[in-house]
Amino acid sequence: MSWFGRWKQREQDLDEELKSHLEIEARQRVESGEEAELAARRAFGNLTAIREQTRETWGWAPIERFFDDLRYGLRILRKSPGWTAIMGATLALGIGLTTAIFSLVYSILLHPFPYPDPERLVVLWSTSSGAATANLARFQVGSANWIDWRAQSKMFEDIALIRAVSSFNLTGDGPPERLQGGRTSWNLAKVLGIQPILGRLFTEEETHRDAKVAVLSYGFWERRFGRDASILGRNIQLNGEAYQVIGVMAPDFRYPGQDFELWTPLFLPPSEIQSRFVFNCRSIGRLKSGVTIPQAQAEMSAIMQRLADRYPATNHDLGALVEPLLDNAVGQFRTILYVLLAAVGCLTLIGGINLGGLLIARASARTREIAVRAALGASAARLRRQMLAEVLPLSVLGGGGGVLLAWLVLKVAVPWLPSQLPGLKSIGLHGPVLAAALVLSVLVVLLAGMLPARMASRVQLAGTMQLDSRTVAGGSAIRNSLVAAQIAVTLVLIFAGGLFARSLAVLLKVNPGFSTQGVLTMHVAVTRANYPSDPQVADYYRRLAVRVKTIPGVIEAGFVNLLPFSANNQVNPVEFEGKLEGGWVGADWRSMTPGYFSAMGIPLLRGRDFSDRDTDATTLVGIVDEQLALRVFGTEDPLGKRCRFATGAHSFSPWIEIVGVAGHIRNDSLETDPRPQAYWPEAQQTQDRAALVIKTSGHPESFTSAVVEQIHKENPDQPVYDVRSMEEWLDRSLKSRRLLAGLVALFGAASLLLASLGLYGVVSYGARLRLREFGIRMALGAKPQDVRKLVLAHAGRLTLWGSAIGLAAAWPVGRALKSLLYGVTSADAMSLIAAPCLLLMVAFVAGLGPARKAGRVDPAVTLRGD
Amino acid sequence: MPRDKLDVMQGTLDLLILRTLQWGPQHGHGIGQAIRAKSDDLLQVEHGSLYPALHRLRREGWIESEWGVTENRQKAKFYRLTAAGRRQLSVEESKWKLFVKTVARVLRPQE
Repeated sequence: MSWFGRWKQREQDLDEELKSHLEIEARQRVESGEEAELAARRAFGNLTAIREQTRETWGWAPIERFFDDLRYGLRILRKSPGWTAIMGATLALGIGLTTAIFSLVYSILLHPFPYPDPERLVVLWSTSSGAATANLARFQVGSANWIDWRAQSKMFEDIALIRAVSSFNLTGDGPPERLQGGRTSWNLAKVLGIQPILGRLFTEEETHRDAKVAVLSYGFWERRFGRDASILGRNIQLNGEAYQVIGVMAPDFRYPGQDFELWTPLFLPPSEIQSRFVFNCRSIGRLKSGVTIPQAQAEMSAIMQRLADRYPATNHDLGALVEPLLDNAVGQFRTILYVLLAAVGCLTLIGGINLGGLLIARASARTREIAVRAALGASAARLRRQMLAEVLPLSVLGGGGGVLLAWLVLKVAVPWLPSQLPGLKSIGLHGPVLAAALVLSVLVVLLAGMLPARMASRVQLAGTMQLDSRTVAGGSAIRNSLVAAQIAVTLVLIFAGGLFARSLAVLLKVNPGFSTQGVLTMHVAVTRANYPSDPQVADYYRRLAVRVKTIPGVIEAGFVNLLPFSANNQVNPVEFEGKLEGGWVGADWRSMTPGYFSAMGIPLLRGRDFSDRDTDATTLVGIVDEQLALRVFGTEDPLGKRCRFATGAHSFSPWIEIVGVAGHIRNDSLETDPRPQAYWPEAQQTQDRAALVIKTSGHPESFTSAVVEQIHKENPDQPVYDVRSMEEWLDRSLKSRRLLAGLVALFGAASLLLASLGLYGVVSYGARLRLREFGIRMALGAKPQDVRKLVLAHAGRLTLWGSAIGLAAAWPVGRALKSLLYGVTSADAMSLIAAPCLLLMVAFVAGLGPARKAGRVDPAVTLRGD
Repeated sequence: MPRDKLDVMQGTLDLLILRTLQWGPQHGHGIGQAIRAKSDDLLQVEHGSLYPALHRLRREGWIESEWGVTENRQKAKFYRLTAAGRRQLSVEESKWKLFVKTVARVLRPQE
């Protein structure tokens, strides 16, 4: 039998026992001539009391009392549904948003990687103190250095090398497709600690002999081959060559990025290793257990120093940087998440304070009831327990609503997150997240409930019982300080939101140097097996551009190897003849076709654009941007001067004639402007990867199908990928900033609403208590506006106090947020002034209602009322 | 409550109940009456103390209960002493005697 069943039976048993007692007693009394039933009952005394006292001996009493209190609390909550709804909504808002942000923190920062011991994984970078790369804090790793690292380091279990390949063109067995993949060293699986779910990974031997084998991502296997296990051993056509499929990875494995769909062995040709000059690989290492980042960094620095001594030509200013994988993956977003978490924490705090204030108000109204309870023998502890049990149902309401809200927020917000973040796929309401939400909701309610509970247990019996309900007042001082605290926290939130919004506004005004108006972009990667020579590739691009330009509404079309804001970079040191004392300038390398500048809206300031007459057979030409021209040539005319770039430690390209000067653009993001640009004609410096830039006269996306159709007319096997308007590229770079500014502003607004509710509550309550005083004042000649002023002054005083505390706190908060600001200082005067002004305005509105009500007081009524 | 009646002292009620049950099973009402009769109406057991005490003793395992019928054919719950209860009774009795002796010694006027 269930516990409840046994308990119920015992209750019945007791009832029956007492009833039988009454009957026996009644019978005896009747026999001795008394009036039956009444006599028996009188003899027995208080039936209910006996029942209660007997129950106490069962040992369940405290629990039962708790449930009684709970039931009583529920009844009170049901009796005032409006009040309950406001409380529940306040709690749910705070808990829901906190839970949502915490689930982001949990998935992105705490459990981002599907690898064992991810804290031991580090990303390795090259650094350089040389002038040519001075604008690059760090860059990719050279294969020759990687070989030395593996041979010399003792802090690492192993180090893997990955070369990202953006253009595996898959043909045959269906529509052509371009795949993002990676060539990797054989030990990547060992470093990451993963195994394929199907088949195997390639071996060291296969890597050294450049075997044509491929491992597929789960997503690609599912999409293209319908999870057909017989894919193992079959051949697929990549860039016109046959690769044998030997394995399939688990669904969550996507190293080094979400877009990676296939991996092949990384073959390092001996010439590349000998030159020591190719830096185009990512590297990831697994530290031995117990090794710290500084220890690994020290070892790598020592190794690089030894290499510099041994290979001065290539290594003399090279260093290495060890960065934890998580730092590399989340970057600034870690700070953003913590800021958001702190912001929702503040919001929850304000909600909790509101709850506390409302509970105090309710407890004050019930002082007499509480006093009666105390007079009847309830101990202080018992009263405290009762008050807490009464509010606990609220935590269920708030917690439940909060989880629901969190689920909704995540559904809406997750697509807005930058897609390169780790752990995005696993974001959800996981067990620990739900547990945290539960604990939080109970904690907030208990803390909020503690205030009135403590007040209740301090009730002065005699005094209270004599008071008349109208003059009962309590907790005013506590409520006033709580509201001031709310205002202070709200001010800090609004201030932070102001800083972020102002940063965003400044950024939006930054001119990137190109125009996004009507610009459509898409990527095409050429299949080299079909176009083996560079002139063929250049001609292919030219023909595609000509076809696209025939579409009505297309104004201009051109190719460039890398789009601005596409988070990809190609940087090369450039040397200028007779300038900079033989030094180098690191510049963005761009290969382009003639239409690119006008399609992207980059102005040509001097000289000429490239033309179809610039071919591999004519003079090598280049265009530099205005920054490079100014830095290298100053007031001199750069046209006709010559430059070249390094192709190896001691080898250079032929001299290139500068034929034009273009406008400078921001290539990485609106926030940073690290490098100048140098442009070469695609026909002379051919690149396999290219983006097509189309200037249209209308809505860019609407041209997509027409453009793709023209491309497929030229070559039906040409994959087209990453189709986006230029506007979208720009927006993507602002994504996390918009998210930050938007969410903090949202939290600020929600806090403002809650704080003004709190303020309204405390001011109108204060005004109600002073009605008699107002009546007397008016009877003595005060005008309604004098009374209104008194009430508004109360609201104003609280707001000023809160704002003063908030401003004091805003100073360190602003400094802490410094790394997330752009174009504004951490003590931005505008935000510092606007936040308290906004609060004062809202406080005025919140105080207006109670003030007008107080002004309407009729002294005759109020004074007679008592 | 009339003045000439005595309250049952805290702690002695258990002893009185156990002792009453020594003569055989009895229901709650009967126990109360028995105590009153044996004390010549001096000891009045409050019902509010009797039933909690009965349930407490049963939880300790000193008495057990069973539904039965009185001589007047009324349904009632009968309590009976268990073996443990019998042992407890002798413990309580000797404790009571010691208590009485000790209190008497304290109350005896000093020579």
